[in-house]
Amino acid sequence: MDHHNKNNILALFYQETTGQNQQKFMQHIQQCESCQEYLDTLKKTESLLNEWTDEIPLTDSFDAIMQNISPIAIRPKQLPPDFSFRPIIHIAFALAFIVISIYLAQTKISLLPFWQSLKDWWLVQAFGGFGIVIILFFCIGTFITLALTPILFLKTRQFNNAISY
Amino acid sequence: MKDHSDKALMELVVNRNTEAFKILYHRYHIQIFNFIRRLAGRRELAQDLLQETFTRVWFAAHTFDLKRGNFKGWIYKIALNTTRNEMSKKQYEYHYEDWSQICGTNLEPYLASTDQPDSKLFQSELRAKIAEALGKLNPLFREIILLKHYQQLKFREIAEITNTPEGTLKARFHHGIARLKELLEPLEL
Repeated sequence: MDHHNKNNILALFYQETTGQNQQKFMQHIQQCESCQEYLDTLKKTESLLNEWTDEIPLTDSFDAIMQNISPIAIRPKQLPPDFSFRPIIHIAFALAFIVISIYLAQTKISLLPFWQSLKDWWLVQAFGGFGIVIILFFCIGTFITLALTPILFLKTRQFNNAISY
Repeated sequence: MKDHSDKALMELVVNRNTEAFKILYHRYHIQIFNFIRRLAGRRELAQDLLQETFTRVWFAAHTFDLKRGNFKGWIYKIALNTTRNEMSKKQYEYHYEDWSQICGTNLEPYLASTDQPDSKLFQSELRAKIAEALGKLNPLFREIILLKHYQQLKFREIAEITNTPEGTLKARFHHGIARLKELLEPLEL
């Protein structure tokens, strides 16, 4: 039996169908053995599931909820953390590292033969050798970030999907 | 206030009216508790998650769409997500208590009472077997069967709650029923 027929049986069984369709499908069921069988399974499953009757939660649940939502239970706003030099030191280190790396790269690059031919280029004259290497680093950094963005996006989505279920 | 519609009560809850919140709680707590109870499989956990669900309802009341929102669907969505999060966080295996726990004396006061002890035992046993069978189902199948069978929601409503297309839902429902049939076969289905 295909899903189309099964869906019709579901609609019939749970009364989610229009009167006309219902009559039409009832006629079909009377002639179709597999549909009858599926309808029978649904009926039997339903009657068995009905044996697991509802339970009643503890009566003090609402009091517990009220305690959760009372203004006293609401956590106070988090105070801003104390001033710390640590992030400033981290940033200073990172900046120093970048500047030194660029300086070293620039000294190496300026020794290369092709650099001599670039010397007269207006961009080099405008920004200087150091400036050009900074721009170069910036471009490479941007390229890497953009290239990684889709991968990081997909990874984050996968992670979120995994924790949401 | 007790005759107010869910939407009218939610409007009051948005304005932090605890009386309206209490009415909503009493209107839905048994349904929600039993949904979580059957989904998560543990009574104590269901008790905690029921509280968590209603706490979320209070704090997220402002996000409820008062113009076209359906409160029943909204609260089931919160209950479902709360349970899913809990189950994934603590890496439960989504299994149910064993037979003895379900038939345990501590549970008796909560269950529908019958006069004859034999029939009581039979009912408890049957209930345990059904719980076990549901526990063995894929959580996605179980969610739909619970929402459809016990909560009597329409497929359209379940599709909204679970964020799943109706066709996919129905296909999962068929698979769930087929698997349930296999699992309940010893009970002469």
